[in-house]
Amino acid sequence: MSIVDEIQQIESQFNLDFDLFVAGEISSEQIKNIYLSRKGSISSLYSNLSKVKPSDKPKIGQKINNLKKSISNRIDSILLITEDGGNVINSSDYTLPGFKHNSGSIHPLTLIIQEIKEIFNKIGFSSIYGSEVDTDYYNFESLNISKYHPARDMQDTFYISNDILLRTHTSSSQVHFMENNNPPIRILSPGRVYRNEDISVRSYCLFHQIEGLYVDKKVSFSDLKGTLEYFAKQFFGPKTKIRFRPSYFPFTEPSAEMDVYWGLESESDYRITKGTGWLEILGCGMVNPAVFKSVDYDIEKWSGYAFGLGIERIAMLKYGIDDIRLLYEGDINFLRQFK
Amino acid sequence: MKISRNWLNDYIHSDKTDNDLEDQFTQLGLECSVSQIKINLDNVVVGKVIDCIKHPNADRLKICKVDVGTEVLEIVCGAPNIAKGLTVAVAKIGAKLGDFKIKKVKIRDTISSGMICSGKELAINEENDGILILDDNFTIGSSIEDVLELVDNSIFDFDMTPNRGDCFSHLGISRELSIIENKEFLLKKNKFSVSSFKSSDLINVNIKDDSICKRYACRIIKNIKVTESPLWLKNKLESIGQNSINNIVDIANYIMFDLGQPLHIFDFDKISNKTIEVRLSSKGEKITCLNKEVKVLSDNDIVISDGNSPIAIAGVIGGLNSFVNSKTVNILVESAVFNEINVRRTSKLHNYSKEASKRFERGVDCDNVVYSMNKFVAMLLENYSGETSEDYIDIYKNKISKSIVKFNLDKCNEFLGIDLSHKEVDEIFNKLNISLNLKGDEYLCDIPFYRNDIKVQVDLFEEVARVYGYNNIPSNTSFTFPSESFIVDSELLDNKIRSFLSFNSFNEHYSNSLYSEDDCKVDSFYKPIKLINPLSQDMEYLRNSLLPGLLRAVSFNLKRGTGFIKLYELGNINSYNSKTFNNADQHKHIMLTWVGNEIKHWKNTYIQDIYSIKGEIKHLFDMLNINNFNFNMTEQSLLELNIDNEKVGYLKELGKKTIEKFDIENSVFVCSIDLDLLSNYFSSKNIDYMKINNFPSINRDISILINNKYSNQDIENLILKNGGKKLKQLNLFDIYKGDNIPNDSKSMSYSLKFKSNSRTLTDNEIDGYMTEIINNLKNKFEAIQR
Repeated sequence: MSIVDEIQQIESQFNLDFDLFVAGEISSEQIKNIYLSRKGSISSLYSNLSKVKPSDKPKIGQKINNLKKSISNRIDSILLITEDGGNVINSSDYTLPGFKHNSGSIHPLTLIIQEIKEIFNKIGFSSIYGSEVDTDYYNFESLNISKYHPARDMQDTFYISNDILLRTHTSSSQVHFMENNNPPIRILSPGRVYRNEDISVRSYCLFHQIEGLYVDKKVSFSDLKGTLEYFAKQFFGPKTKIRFRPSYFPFTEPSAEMDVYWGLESESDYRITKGTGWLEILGCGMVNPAVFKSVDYDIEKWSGYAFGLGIERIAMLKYGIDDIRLLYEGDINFLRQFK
Repeated sequence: MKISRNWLNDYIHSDKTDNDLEDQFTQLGLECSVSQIKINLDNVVVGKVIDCIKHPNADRLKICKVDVGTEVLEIVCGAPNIAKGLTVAVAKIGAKLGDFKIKKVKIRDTISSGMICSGKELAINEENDGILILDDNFTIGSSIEDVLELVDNSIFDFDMTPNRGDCFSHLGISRELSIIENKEFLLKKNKFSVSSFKSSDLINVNIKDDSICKRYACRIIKNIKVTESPLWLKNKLESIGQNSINNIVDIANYIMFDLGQPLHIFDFDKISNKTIEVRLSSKGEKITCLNKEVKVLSDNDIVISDGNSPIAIAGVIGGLNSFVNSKTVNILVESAVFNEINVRRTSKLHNYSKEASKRFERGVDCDNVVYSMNKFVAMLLENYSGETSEDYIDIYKNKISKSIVKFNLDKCNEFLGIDLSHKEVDEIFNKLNISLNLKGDEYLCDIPFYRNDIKVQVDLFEEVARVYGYNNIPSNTSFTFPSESFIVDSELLDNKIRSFLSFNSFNEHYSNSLYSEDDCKVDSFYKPIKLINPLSQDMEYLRNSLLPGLLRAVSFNLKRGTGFIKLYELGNINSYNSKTFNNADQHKHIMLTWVGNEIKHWKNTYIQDIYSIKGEIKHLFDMLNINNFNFNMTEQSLLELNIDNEKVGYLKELGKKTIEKFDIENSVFVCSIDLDLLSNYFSSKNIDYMKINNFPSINRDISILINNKYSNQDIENLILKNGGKKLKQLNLFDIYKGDNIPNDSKSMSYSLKFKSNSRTLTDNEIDGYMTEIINNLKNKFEAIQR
């Protein structure tokens, strides 16, 4: 028998078997076994292909392929399920569950960083990334925080040597950037920072910040306020009320803290706002001329502002997370919720 | 720092409510919170314990008979210090202590008709270890409010920024209050009479180095009596959380909290050599402090010495050898200004951060030294006997002159974005006690001594801003974007990967990047960086791999019953490198982990194994549009991830030893990718579009029998090498072992797709390639075509 005849024979045999299969007299496993398994009819057709003279091979190969496809499509076209006894029942129970992989997630801190970057990106801020290991000079001295400055109390530092440390704030990337670039500057610098603080519900030995730096001609405190007001409204909603309070950071002068009005509607509002309704969101200020002097910028020509936000704090507020340690534990039941 | 509202009234009175003041102080940059003390001690009276016996049914309780004037009450008391004869505070039936109402109660079968109170129960101090013992002179039955002179008060607790050393006192806060109230106040003159002896005859003061002590004043007071402090003084100190010690120490503390000048009191008779010397310590020198701790000094601590040995660590703590005690008769009061940096270094080094050093570190007012000392003398002599010298010693060699700072109004307006007139700015400076001289178009500003934080023009801009009100400055909400400030974000790749992974069931993890020594050995490719002051041994190193952090999380989840895990972390790791500015190399990596074999489903159970994992990784690289990516097996169970033959990562199943460290039994696959390397191949714009053509492709299948020692990689490499440039796709579609196949062999079937972009291929030329492939498979791998 020629291979072409063989193909035809198998095809007509299948038509008969297919009727039995639809009637439920033979199972899907059986019919697949006969035609589609390794030892099935189609497989043997393929092995006979080697006997065909080379010039006919493509044509005949194609025929076998077509037959195989048609057989498997026809079997699959009947929705079948196998019950315990292996009996085949004709079924189209659309209520059976579909197959779905578990949902993945993106870490809440990544989500916050991405959202903040996007907001500032719209008004011309680009992102840069610094190193977690830095020197005392970039982390402190160049930012107007000398060795025995009381402001160092605000930041307990992990040291690697006398002079090298784990950065305590992303402000350390300011001077690095300004050393290598000239104004105008509009940058954000997100990243991980470290503080030598005991781990508790409210504090961790590391956290994430986003630093912002803006340098240009004739930059004013009013510009700083406008930028951060824009941010607050984008992030917390268009009706967000904000206020600025004088504060102190050695690398900005004047320095301020920005609060948003959180409300006093629930007991937890009282707790997190200490009864004032206001919540501290970020620190900011006009770049201190001492910092510009560290990078040889002409302080008569350039002025600027800087701001810094704590990502964990904002994530905890936004999602109502009450224990900072959850962010670093990796519990999938926690992580899965952030998409 | 606690500030008493009643105490502020000594300087300036305000009609504002506590909450208004809290808000206005905060708006001025002095963040604070207020709490109110309401005295409501009706029915709490002075009583005398006339009998005190042990309770028959309780070891720790006593039954007391207490005379409260109108009657004798029987009261059960558990305080350890209760005793017959004491004068105590008794809360009678009906008294309310906070929310607690005193009723008649039965305690272990004895009826108790009231309560003997502790200081804390009366809310007058924090003492709760025993009952409050009162002065025996108090009249029995009189009201506690009256005899203890208790009044309502409000306490402002300030969270002071380090630049405002001038605000660490009631005087300092009063100055700020005068800005709010827009009223001036003057300091009262110190009045006291002096005796005819001279301090300068009795003591010799010698400052070894002017740079460590800007000003040193002292005065001797003779024939004093160390006693308990009067009630009003005790109350004032207690209201701001300070315990009373004795009259001398209390008055000195009072002056510090009142004026901001820390004083130190020496027992004059204990200063041998009648010499005071201010000098730096020499290394190894020892002093026994008044808390009886022995401190070994460095060569950088400022000490007060009697010419031989130290009698105090200047500005930090006194020595036991010169300390005032109940036998002290003659004292020397020291009022000085020591170098901020030395005091700070010393208090850090010896771990003393006390009220005094806190003030010295932030700089105290040189101009206030003598006034403060004399206020101490005046207060002491007004309340107690004693005689002070007619002179005092005041060493102030390099007299500090007022600093003059230039101020340009136009610049200020431009800098803040406001439009103040000369008159308005005059008013602001007037409130701040800054006097002005207009010179040309600039002001010359005289800065008060106490504002040591105002040094340059921007400091004045800040003063103007805070007095004008930050919230009165308009917000400019129009933005400009100079095109030259744009930078391409290097996180584009990271976020593309994150997004892909989140669509493919991965959860993103952030782990603690401080590791133990053992953690660093788990993946020791990079040399870790060690901290010199870690929080604990578990967190001594900065991470050198993402693996341990992920395995900890995997273990955590397995223990909580999650068996199917796809977790990754993207972050920085560091390795030691002596050649960089920070002795570190930072690498951005991503590591993925897979745990679990299958997800059961009624129709198609999903199997997770090395092949599904390889597929996911290949999919990821496809999505990143990175061509020329392939897996390369270099050793058993380890696949390198290569792009253009550069290794950018690896995929492997972790060994038993590694996972056992994390208490994991399941098999764990990990894939690590160096994102710094990967980014060289990634560009958000690297879509390489090719014109679509309709030349047909030619497909061929090939099936071979081949020895097991040849891997798929070997076979594929050979086919690709011999298939010519037109071979566009190679796909393994079947592997078969078993019947009809020798045990050492396997059957492998591949489909090949040939295509040209410029013409229709002929069967002949493809046959040529196929023959070449088959011959090579035969010759090199002894394969047999099936």
